[in-house]
Amino acid sequence: MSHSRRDHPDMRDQSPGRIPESLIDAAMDGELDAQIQKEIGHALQYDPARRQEFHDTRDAINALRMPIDMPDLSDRVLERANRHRRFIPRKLRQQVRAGRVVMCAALLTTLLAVAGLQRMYPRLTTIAAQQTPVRDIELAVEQDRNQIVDSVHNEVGALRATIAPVAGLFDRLDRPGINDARYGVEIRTASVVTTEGDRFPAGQLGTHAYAVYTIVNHRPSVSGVNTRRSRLGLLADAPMNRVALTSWTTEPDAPRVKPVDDPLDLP
Amino acid sequence: MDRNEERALIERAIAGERQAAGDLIRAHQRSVYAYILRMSGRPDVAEDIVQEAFVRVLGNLHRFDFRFRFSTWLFTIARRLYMNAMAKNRPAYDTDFVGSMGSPAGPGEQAVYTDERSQVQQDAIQTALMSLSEEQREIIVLFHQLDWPISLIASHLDMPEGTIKSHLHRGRKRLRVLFKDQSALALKLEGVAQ
Repeated sequence: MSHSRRDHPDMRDQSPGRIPESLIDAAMDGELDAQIQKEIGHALQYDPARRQEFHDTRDAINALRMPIDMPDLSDRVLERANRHRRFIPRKLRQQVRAGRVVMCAALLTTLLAVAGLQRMYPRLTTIAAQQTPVRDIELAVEQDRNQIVDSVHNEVGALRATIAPVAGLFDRLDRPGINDARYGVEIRTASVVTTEGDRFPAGQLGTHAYAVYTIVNHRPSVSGVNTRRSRLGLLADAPMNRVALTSWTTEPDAPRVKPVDDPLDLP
Repeated sequence: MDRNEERALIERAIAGERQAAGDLIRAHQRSVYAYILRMSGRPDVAEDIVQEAFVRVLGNLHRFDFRFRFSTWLFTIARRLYMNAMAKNRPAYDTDFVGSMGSPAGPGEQAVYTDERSQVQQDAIQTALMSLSEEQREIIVLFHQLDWPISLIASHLDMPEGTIKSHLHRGRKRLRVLFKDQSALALKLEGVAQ
């Protein structure tokens, strides 16, 4: 964009003999044509202050334009570009691109194949645990039953072993007053046990039961003994100074226990 | 190098010709190095940024749009890297570098100004430049050192042309005063030293 000298706005209100600074700026910006620049150069001879400013500015610009020496960075740049694989020849880039496409296609095909197989043969491609067919049911039931029977026998054996030493102590007690003391013995089984037979009461014991033993130490001569025996569920001719299984319960601390029809005497 | 030559060089570099890539770097490294050196005042920063800018350019050369000027693209990347470096860790003006410009560490290792007699002026101009605002400094370097037209600077800096001119005039006026003061001071110190 070029201005003639008269058209420039700063030319209208300037003091005589001064060249407007904006005109110098326009000249330095390369906006004035050669003729105007020549006129400005001529006018500067009559404006020493502006001429000095112009020369100072020119010196600064010349200093700025002085050549700068620098190392050749091309080798370092190419080395770095190769190291980072950023500068790849076109053919290689095409091969890499084609390779990526092939890999993606292969992956997609594999996924589709797996999906198809899963639809056709669900069991073939299912990784989660599956149900297994049951075989030899009769044998398995018999094994389970034997296991339960063994478990009950073990519990009863442990029960007898627990009570036996205590029963020995009771033999020395012959005074009235400590009769009918009850002791609960915990019975645990691994599985639900249904008892039947003459020693234990019939019915389901569950996995947790309490056998209640009562010290039987009544002398026949004590009055009312038969009544007490009867209340305890003991037979009239039950032996003296013995510990007998008198009742059972499936709940600990039950206030009332179920009497045993046929108390089990422990040796 | 005209635009046709430059285009041919770029196409050869895209095809993987290392020599062409090297020629492209050598054709533009001086101007972009001068730009960043003037902006940062530090040759180490300038070297790092110029290298990184070229590495990025070469890595994306196949995406270059020939409707635009290669130098504009390169300067835009270099400028962005410089701005990021400034935002991350604002580099201090390396006064030691200015003082050591006359005694280069070794060929190819340290940037040096070619004319030792102009050392005082070089120190003075860099010190004066660093006293300008960032906008003024950048516009003066692009306009007076790299001969970019106002319209291109406006596009590069995303500013109106009027604003560019305003920064240019104010900056040039300040640069004139600062450069004169710095030169006088340097000459005085040189006289004291002798």
